[in-house]
Amino acid sequence: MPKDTNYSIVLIEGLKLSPNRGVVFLQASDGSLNGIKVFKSLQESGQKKSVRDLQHRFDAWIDGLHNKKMFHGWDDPNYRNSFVFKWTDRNVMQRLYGFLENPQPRLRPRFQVCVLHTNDSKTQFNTETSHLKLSEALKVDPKVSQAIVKAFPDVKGN
Amino acid sequence: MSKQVAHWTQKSVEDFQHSIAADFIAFIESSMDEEGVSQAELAKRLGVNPSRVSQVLNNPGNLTLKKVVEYVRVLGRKVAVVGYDDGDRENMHGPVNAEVFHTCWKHMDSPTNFFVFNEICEKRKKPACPVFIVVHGVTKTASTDHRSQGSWSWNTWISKSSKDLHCASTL
Repeated sequence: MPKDTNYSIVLIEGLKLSPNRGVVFLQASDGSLNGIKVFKSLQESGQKKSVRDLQHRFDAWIDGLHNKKMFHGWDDPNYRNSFVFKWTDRNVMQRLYGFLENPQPRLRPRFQVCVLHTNDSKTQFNTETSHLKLSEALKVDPKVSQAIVKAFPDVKGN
Repeated sequence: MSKQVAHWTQKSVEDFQHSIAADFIAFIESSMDEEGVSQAELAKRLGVNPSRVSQVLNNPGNLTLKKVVEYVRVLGRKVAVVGYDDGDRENMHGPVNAEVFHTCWKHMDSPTNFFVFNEICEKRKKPACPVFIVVHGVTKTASTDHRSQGSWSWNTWISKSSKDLHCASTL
């Protein structure tokens, strides 16, 4: 990632609010992460079905459901923090990649958030590992961590 | 933090409908996996073109009650339409996922009527039967016992359930 890139967390309005889980987007100042752009573009262009499908999937994960057709992580220890939401847009399979984070170890140690960053079409059976590598790299990037701490402060009274 | 907004399913009837229909599609797909039924096989059972099945499974918003019944029945399953009051009048929290209801029902051993349901509730209230072993005229449990020094006094642990233990002294 370029050194002068800054990051911010974008909350998704209207999803289920839970003390256990949340789903957010990660935005990069250089525009390199397209996840939030794709989601907003679906909303603005009236792709209601796709927006509803994604919101339903986010809610299902927030609720603690297990459904590999909708979302999953990886057993591979190299990608153990990576996560993906699966959806279809006009018959083309899509993947929204992110990573899992526990942003408030003191305040809410069990609270887990899925930080989404990149959307890509799925054109082959095997997973595009570059997205998983990016997930793992973003998770440990200090500037990304700063953005997460700003969105989810780990102090009482917030 | 910004003011909490209502759940996305509050926007319109179609949004709410999409969400609950998507729960149902997830159940159908899970049933298909359990039965080893492909979309092609499902289409054959329904007497329709496979593309028709794909359209239904990929477009929850278009699901009708008749389609719901057709799809569950060819998979040997059933369906109930369940209304409920979770106290969330403004729909700030969205619908409860159907799988939560299904899981709760299975957790209660899948009662098919209220007589069975009540029997299950009654059984779950009663403690497990204690197991006694009689040794030399003194009763002790199969679990733990402690002998007090210098006498035939026994503290006997009587286990009623894994959560309910009490100690009775015997001479």
